[in-house]
Amino acid sequence: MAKNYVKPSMQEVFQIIDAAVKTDPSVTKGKEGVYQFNIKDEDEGTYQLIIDENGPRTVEGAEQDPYVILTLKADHFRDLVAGDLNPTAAFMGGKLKIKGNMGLALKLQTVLNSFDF
Amino acid sequence: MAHESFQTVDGEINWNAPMYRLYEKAKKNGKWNPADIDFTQDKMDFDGMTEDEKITSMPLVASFSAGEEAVTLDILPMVYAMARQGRLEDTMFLTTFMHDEAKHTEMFSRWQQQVGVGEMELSNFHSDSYKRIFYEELPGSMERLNVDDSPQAVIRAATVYNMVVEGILAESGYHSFREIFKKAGLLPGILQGIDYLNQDEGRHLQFGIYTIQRLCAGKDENLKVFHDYMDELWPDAFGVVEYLTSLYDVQMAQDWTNSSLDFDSEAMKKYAKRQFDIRKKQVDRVKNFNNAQELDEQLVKAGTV
Ligand SMILES: [Fe+2]
Ligand SMILES: [Fe+2]
Repeated sequence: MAKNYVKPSMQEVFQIIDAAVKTDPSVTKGKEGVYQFNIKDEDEGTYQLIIDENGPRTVEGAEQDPYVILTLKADHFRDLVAGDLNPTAAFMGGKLKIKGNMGLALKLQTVLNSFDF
Repeated sequence: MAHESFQTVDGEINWNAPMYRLYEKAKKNGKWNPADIDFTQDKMDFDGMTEDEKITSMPLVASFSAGEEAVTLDILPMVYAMARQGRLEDTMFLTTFMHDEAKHTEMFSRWQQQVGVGEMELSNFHSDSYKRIFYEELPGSMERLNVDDSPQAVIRAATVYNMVVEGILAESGYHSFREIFKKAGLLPGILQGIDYLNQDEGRHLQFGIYTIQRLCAGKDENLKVFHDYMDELWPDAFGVVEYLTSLYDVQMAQDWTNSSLDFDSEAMKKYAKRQFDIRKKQVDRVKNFNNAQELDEQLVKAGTV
């Protein structure tokens, strides 16, 4: 079973997040900003989680100027979303690089924690 | 520049020059060696801290290490300006100053290495305010001395270097580090290092206050240069403290944060403001003197240096 388990692609992961944040916009209240994820290595790409007056959503590519940029590997991002790794530990362990607004980066975990993926 | 004479050939060192006396103090009190500080307990403490507690210390460490490195690299134009002006005693004192800053840089880097965060990229903890002061204003005002060592330029250099970076930001940094980690009974090694640093910084502040005062004695227009520059830098100086405290506040406001560290953000901001007021007041005491000579005599008489 586990052998045949196909990891969701980054595109799929961001679609899941997009659906989740739209289901309950109250979770992202007070966390307004543009979070950019630079995914490295396998499944490379740039994605954004945008939380603004138009409601929370994710997009592929750099649609807006990011407030904070998080650079990490696809597998670490999957762990982050699954709750198996938290951003603070990832940062302290060198698995996550952060540029820009650190306060917003701290709030990311609260956003991710609010959903069961 | 060719020498036309030598002070110690024509006469001798001015043993009573305030900066010569400070140089004597530095030789006597500044003997600590960062390599002698034992960080073993710090390493154990750090390993035992939660990730959330560890990350709380990172912005402070990032501010300290860049700050000490900046002041180590940026003091040179002041040394050169004092030498060029034939201020032998000030130049002699500044040799100890430079050595102190090198040790401060060494101390933080050693600590980072020994607790295992030496390779971490921490520049993301430098806010725009931090960058304005440490990346721009400090080197800008110091390097200006290479082409302009007028009283106004020297006052501005000493204002950003000694009064703002050392007198407000470093002092506030030590205070917050102690507030957080002394209270928690953690990281005794770096706390000891900070005590040494703090003592050294006392002398550095004396240099800054003296340098500004001697150029302002009887010259109100120069005193205005000091106050204006302090006022100009204050929003960013406060911005540095505000950013650091806001990070802590955001962290503590998250329901998942697992930290037993305790810190009073509002008290910290007040502390920084108080440092600003104290520095201004200290320099303002120069109003009691009509010229630099009166100031020198009083300093020696009062045994302040
Ligand atoms: Fe220092
Ligand atoms: Fe200093």
